[in-house]
Amino acid sequence: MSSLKRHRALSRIWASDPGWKGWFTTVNHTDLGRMFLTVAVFFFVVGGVLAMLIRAQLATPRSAFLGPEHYNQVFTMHGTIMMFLFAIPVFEGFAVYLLPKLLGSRDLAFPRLTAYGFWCYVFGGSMMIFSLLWGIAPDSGWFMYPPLSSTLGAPGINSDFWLIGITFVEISAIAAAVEITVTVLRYRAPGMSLSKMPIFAWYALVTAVMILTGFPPLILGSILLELERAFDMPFFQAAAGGDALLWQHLFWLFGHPEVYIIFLPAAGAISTILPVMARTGLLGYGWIVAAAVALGVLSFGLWVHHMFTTGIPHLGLAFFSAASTLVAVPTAVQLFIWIGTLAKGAPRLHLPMLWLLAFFATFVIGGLTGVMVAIVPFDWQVHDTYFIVAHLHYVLIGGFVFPMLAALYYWLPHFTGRKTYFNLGPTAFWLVVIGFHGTFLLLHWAGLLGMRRRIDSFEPGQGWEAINLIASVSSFVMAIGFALIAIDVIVSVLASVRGSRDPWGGSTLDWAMPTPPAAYNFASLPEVSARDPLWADPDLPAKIARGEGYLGDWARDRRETLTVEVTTGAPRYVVVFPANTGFPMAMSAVTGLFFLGLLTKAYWLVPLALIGVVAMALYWVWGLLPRRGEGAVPVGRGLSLVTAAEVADPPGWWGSLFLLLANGTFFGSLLFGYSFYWTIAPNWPPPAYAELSLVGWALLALGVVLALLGTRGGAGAGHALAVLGTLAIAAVGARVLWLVPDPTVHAYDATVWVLVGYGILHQGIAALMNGVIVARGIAGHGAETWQGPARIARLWTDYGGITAVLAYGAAVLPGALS
Amino acid sequence: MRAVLSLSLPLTLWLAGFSGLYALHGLFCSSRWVEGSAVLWQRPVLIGVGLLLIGAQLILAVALQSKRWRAEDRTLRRVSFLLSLAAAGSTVWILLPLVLVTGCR
Repeated sequence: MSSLKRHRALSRIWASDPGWKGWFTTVNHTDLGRMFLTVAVFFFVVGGVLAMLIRAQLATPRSAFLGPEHYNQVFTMHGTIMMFLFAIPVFEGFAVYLLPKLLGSRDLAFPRLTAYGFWCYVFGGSMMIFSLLWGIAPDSGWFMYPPLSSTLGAPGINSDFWLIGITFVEISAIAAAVEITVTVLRYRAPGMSLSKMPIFAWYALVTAVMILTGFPPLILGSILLELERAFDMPFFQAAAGGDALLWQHLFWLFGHPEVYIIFLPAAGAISTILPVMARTGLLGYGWIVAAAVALGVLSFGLWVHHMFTTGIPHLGLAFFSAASTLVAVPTAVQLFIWIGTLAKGAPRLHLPMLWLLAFFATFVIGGLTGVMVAIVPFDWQVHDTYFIVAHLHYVLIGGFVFPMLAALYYWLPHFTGRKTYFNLGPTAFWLVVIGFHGTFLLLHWAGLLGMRRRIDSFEPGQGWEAINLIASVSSFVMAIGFALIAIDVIVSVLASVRGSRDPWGGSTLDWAMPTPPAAYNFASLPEVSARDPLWADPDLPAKIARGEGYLGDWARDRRETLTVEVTTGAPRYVVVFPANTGFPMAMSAVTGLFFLGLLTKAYWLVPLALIGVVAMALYWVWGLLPRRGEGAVPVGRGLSLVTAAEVADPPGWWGSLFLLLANGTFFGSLLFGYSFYWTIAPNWPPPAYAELSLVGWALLALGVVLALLGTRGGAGAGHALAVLGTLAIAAVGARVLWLVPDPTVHAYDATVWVLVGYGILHQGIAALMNGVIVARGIAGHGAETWQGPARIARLWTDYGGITAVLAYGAAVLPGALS
Repeated sequence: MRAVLSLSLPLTLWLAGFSGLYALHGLFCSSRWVEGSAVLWQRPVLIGVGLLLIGAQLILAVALQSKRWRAEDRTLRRVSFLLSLAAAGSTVWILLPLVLVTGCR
């Protein structure tokens, strides 16, 4: 079989639909990665224009360019867009595009989930942009602190756009995080053990787990605040037992890890690009992995350092001050390793390297001012001033945008298969870097001189005029630089000549394929035996093209890839991927109707959309498995493996495991909020507590036993028992709600509704999952006897049972104790 | 999966201990911890919990290097050891405020 024949056959199997239809039906990670990046860049442009409006307004004292109302919307949306619609999606875009290529796989773990996440991002982001165009955008700052963002401070629909829009967009982040985690752990080339993984994959793994554990507190906070705004459930109203400070805790439980969620992918790109530019291997691979993991976990212990001025006792402040200084250590470890790698090699000053040098100069300044604000007395002086604005821009632009520009220029030949045309890059580089430092360096001084952030105008005579004028002029210089980059990239994409396959001499598998890459990535999946596979075996691309790896035979005429053992990288089973479909887009549109119903208070639409989403999810799940197994199939190199449908730990089980990690964090955050009320919030205890009767406890125990044992029965009858068990648990939840009839009376009642509602919701999910297995048995699908689906249902049933007991217990515990 | 756990456990234990200490401190402050009063058991309790945490970190570090639990891959074993050290060091570092700083003011 010739390489060309293989290429044609695989291209036919893996190709997206032709023409415009392909944009809506593609489930291919290369397409979706490019689409993520394109949309993220669009949002970056919108956010950049808003930044220009801010700087135009602040260029001179007493400016009347923007009124206060518009200014509030502009700075709120600038921060919101850059954090939620640009930074995270850029990571998702790079990860979606690159990971399978770096790992030696043909696609991500769940292609339809990638597409669903992408469309949720597009629809959710569009919702936010719509609010901006109509002048009803959120205007309470990107932290959305209540009571400024509650009905008291923001009675219009503005805050609802933020709360509902961001929650919608976060579906995309959670979906991508599940996708990335499972892909990195299971979808690698045979032989690629964890310690031979490309360093970018380590960073992506840590970042994805951080998203799974960092975003749920924000999603919870957004749901609680929206429930307060829409239904008057007093979560953040002190007079009714709530506490506005809880929002800050939930927001920063997300918000501080978010900084590292943004930085770590950039660090991953640096660790990938820098050794190639220095023409040497990365120094201290193990140290870098340890530093990435350490940063990922430590970043969850810092959230209170954003709340140093909220009246927390000194000892609490000192805890978080100490923890905040700790993160400097793993950050410094990485910096020294990168510098060491440069010293060891012979760096070439190509454009990606220039951007990396700009990163070093800028991020170190941002990091040092970060250590300064970790010290409590200093933070008290500069809190909410332009010093903080300057610090965060040094960290985010220096630590994320510059490395991502290095990544853009490094992988541009991969995206396009072309050389750059005008070579505008160096000019743009200097404009952006000089413009950036001109804008933000002096703003540190403005902050030290007392200039508050978020003010829409200022009076002359305070020493701020020259600083602000220089900052504004410099910001436009930076904007011209970004415009040049855009022109450079667009012209390169559209009009440039073809380039070589691996222009930088890269070491990773992404350069082992022709560029732009074919839809199937690898004509055959390589066997990997080194951390830098292309440097270890320069002939590898040719071997892959000749079909000397795995799955080089296309006789089964379907989209296939391999999964591997987590640690060793030994081949485990074959995964058959779905064909092109518009289903994910349709499902995200119906999901959008759910959120739109909430936003516009068209509550009749909400249950309809919910039923639509559930029906579509069931249809999705129903189609996941074949009716019959096919046993072991040959995968090449003399090896035969079974397909994912027939194993005990299919990708769906792994996906469920990590989705439940996010879900568990959500639930844990809810319990944290409840304990916070109980111990800290004023106006407790509430007028009355719910108390569950002995019959209620007995029914709960019976339900839990039926649910847990039923899923362990193995046969259809066992899962039918599990359905009965979940219904019994849900009935007990309904009884608890009956005992707390009005969730608007006190924060306790409102919290009980959320806790118990969460418990009931999960009984519904578990019932549906077990019901699907029963229905499969009735329909005569062989899948009834397969372990994978039963283990997934068991996972969700166990989780639902445990959380229901905890939720109901928490609801009635104060009553029992009093 | 054992390798992944050996990487994530040490600092996760640190995070759990850190959050637990902070929560305990919050509970003490919301009850009756008044600096200079006769009730002086809160700080020793916090320090005791902190020392227990350090002990747990060290036991975990040893366990993760034992034949039974250690990762088979040498690089991962080294990373796990580094993270165990980092977690133990981090616990010592965050205990300093317990000794040096006033409680609930």
